[in-house]
Amino acid sequence: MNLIRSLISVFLVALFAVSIAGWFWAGEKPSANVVGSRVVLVLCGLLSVGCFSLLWSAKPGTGEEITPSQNLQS
Amino acid sequence: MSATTCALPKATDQMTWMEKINGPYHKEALWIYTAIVLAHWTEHLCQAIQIYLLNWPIPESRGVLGLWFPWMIKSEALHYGYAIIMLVAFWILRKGFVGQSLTWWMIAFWIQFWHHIEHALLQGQAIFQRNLFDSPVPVSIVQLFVPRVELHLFYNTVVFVPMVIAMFYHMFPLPGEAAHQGCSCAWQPRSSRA
Repeated sequence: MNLIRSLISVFLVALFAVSIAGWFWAGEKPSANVVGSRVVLVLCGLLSVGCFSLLWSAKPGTGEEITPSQNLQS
Repeated sequence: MSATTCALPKATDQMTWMEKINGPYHKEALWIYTAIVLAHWTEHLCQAIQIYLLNWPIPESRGVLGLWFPWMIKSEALHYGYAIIMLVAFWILRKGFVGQSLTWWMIAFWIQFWHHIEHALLQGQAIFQRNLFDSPVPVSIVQLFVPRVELHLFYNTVVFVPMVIAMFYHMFPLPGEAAHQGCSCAWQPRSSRA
């Protein structure tokens, strides 16, 4: 589980970094859609931070513990 | 890795493949699907790094595989095909989710549905050799407001994030939810094993 969380976190951190870099890059380009670029990049950055926080907010056993018998009965 | 699981429900001959893939093999199916999604993410993030950090010209920024196989990034059929595969996988794997995790999984599904519509528009323009809005290249609707690279980075983000949240609630089910019926995806503490 920690492996997959760590792996996904790498992507979320990369997304956050790319969003910041893209925000600056978009500002330097004479494009009519610079606002659109920056809005979606800000959203990407915020979503990556939110998802990262949620991903690491839980520890094993903090959720409902399901035993094998409960698992099969439910 | 410290992940542990409860007993794996056994696949039987009476089960359909849908029941198997959403039950005993749900975990493996999600692993494979996640690997495919992350591989696709790698391409988009590498392309963004090439453009934003390395200052490569956009046409030269083709991700990883696109550097060796340039047709891949130019092929609307390939992009559309991937969007369809992702959409179908969301649909097929949904029955393994319950409660909060199902809600987030379906949010990801519906966003991916719109993403696929946008790719269908692009694919249609490529097939009929006629572009919308008199554009010199195929364009989608939201692309009128947001450039393609940023737009698809955004689309992949808004699909990926709810997908991760769904998987999170799948592995850490909320109290009171009768989660994980017939699958072994929940992360169990070591003490509850055996």
